[in-house]
Amino acid sequence: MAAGTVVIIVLAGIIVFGLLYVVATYNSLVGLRNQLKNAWSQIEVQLKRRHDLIPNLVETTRGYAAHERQTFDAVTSARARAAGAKSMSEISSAESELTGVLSRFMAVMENYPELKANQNFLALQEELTSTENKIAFARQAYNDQVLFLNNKIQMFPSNVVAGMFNFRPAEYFELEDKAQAAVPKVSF
Amino acid sequence: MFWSIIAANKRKTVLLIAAMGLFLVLLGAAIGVFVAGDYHPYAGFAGAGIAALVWAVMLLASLYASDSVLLSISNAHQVDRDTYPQLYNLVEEMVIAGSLPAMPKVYVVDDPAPNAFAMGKSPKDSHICVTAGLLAVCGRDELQGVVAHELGHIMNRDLLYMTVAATMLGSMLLISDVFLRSFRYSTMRYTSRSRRSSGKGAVVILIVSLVLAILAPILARILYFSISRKREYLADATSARLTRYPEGLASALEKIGGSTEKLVAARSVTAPFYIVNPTKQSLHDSVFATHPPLSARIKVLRSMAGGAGYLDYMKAYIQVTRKRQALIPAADLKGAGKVEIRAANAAGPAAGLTAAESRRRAGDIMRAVNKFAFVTCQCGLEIKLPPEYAGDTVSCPRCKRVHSVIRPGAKATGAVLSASAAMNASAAVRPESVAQDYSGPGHAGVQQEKLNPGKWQTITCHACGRPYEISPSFGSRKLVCSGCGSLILFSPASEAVHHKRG
Amino acid sequence: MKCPQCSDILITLEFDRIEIDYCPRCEGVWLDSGELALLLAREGGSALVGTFRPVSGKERKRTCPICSRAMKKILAGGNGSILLDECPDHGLWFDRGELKKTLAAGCSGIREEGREDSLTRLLDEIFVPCGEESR
Ligand SMILES: [Zn+2]
Ligand SMILES: [Zn+2]
Ligand SMILES: [Zn+2]
Ligand SMILES: [Zn+2]
Repeated sequence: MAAGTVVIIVLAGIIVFGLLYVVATYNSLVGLRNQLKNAWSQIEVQLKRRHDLIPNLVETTRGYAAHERQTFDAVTSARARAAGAKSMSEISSAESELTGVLSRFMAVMENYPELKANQNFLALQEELTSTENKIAFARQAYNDQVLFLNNKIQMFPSNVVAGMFNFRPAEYFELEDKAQAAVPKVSF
Repeated sequence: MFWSIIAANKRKTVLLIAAMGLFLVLLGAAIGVFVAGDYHPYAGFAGAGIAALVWAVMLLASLYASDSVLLSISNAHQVDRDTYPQLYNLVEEMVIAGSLPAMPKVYVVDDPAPNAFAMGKSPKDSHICVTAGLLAVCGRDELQGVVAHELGHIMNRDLLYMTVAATMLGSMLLISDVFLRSFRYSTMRYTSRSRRSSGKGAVVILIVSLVLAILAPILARILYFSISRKREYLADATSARLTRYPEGLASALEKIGGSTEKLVAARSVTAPFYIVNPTKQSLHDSVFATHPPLSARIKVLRSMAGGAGYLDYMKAYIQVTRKRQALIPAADLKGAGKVEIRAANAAGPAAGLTAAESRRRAGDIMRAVNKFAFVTCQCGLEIKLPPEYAGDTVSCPRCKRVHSVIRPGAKATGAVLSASAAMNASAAVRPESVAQDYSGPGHAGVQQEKLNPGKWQTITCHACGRPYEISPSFGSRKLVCSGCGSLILFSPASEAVHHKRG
Repeated sequence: MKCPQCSDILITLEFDRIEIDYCPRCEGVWLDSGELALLLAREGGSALVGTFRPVSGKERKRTCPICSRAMKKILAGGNGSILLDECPDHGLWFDRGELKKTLAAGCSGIREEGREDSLTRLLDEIFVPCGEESR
């Protein structure tokens, strides 16, 4: 067999292998991106749930703490800002603010012991606690996915494929607020 | 995810099924030869065939019907979001934290002893059960720890192995019992025919089969119980990592272990499923113990100082148990991130309940699960009506006020949750907690309120500050405050006022 | 649970941490086992439970609302005037007014000067004493 044929066969093999690698990497990148979208939609569901709870909460507590006008206004306007946020950084800062305002709101409501006898309020309090937890857990799941995807996009050799098809690293979803003591912080 | 542990569990299950099959066939053959070997040359094969059939039936049963059987012998009632919102929420939270593919079905077990267990062979089809007693004594964080532990078993595929083992153990006990009965019967015959038979061979077979029959249950137990110990530590590790709050589970385990109530529904076959061994027969460290000692589990959780991740659990485990052997395979720890411990949830635990009080709370939880209607009268008497109660109204035996009965399931419009759900949430609230020193806007004379028909509404007596929940079916035009006797008038239409105890 | 007397559905009443099952028709009361001891312990009348003695009653035998087995007749109170039904596993059945009489007997010996007998008062509050003005 001529040396040329061997070279051709080896070259063809490398090309086929390379193509297979590109296809496989592309598919896994797309898969990761879809999982990321799923994780994000879980966060959105929970944030939406929180927005829906706030009017109920305000309505139920107003009769007990009518003179806490400032607190009610703060919650209502923070909710409005969060509901109007579009970009990731806007959502992140508006929701962080809402978390802080809500935890201060609940702290103020602690001063009204008769609220503890109101079944509506207790039910809403449980819903809010659970929604805050779900946001935190969904955020960790999302950020785990971001880490996976970004590693793949930035590390050799998968970064070559990612560059070819224009995959961009995803942004972490951070909620930072000094007041949000109840919400877990996670570092990697 | 403990991938290698999941794989090991699957492997072990297959091995167990095969080993049990072999064992049963041998046992069946021995019984066949012993009982009828003198008359029928193929009795051994017949015995083996029957045993194989039994094995196949048991296998099918364990794979397809075991969940419902085990759930029903455990008195479990399925609940949804409306019957116990907090429990349902906690399961949802952990499903999100663990990225499970499907929401497990949630059950409350009719039992005042605090405990919990899970069922199901894969994360796509699973069941989480907690007892009413657990709901009565545990706060939010504690309950979350327990739910996450059970989810840990589901994620690690422990239940696949345990379900198969439980069914197999059940069948072994049954078969050896049958054999020992037939042995007692045939020894009587044996003396009369021993002179005619070949003697030695029969005696050997007798001894072998007797040994087998005695060993079978013991072997099964050792196999099955010893395996359920390490998995409890692993599920604890998963719980700490998912909740990021190891103290929640630690304090729940303490409460479960400290309870004097005995679990009624527990059987030795279902015992290994529970988070804490319900039969309490376990000698501390024997081979027969279904669970590792509770004190060690609590100590490990409380020693997790640095964080809530798997590595932190491992460190604490080695420090407490002084075991060299790794709890979590190194391959599963790769890429395990650092997880910080979170702060406690604001909703505090129900601490310091007496035995009678927690029993009563457990009773109320079971009533809510069983669709009882709750009516609280203005006079302070609480009336609990079973679903069989036929009337639409109930008269208070204390003050003769007539109340309309709102059936659970009839959703309160406008409110997030149904009346029965709210009932649960307030189970902890006692009349004393309503503040007498409330200084609301004071008005002399008649108080006027607008009625919002079809909605739950909260109003407060302006004179004494007593709060009232107006039910959606409220149709009266006036209300006399039970606290101070002042009159409250409503602009538009029944008499269902749900007074917040006060 | 069904009333042992008239087979109506029993409803549960809770007041000030005391829970009883009550028949709205005949006004009889069912107490789970131990509940009476708990009630009496709160008032310091635990000795009463010791005075219970079995008797072959002329009254019709009733069945336990939990296990449906026939209940035993027992006599309670110092002079043995109150005839109750007891299921040894599940609890006690009191006909209308019997619970009040039993509790009064249990606490009479220990009533102190100036101390109001809060338990009897409580039961007075829960039930109209003789039931004349019930529906
Ligand atoms: Zn467990
Ligand atoms: Zn009343
Ligand atoms: Zn009756
Ligand atoms: Zn009985």
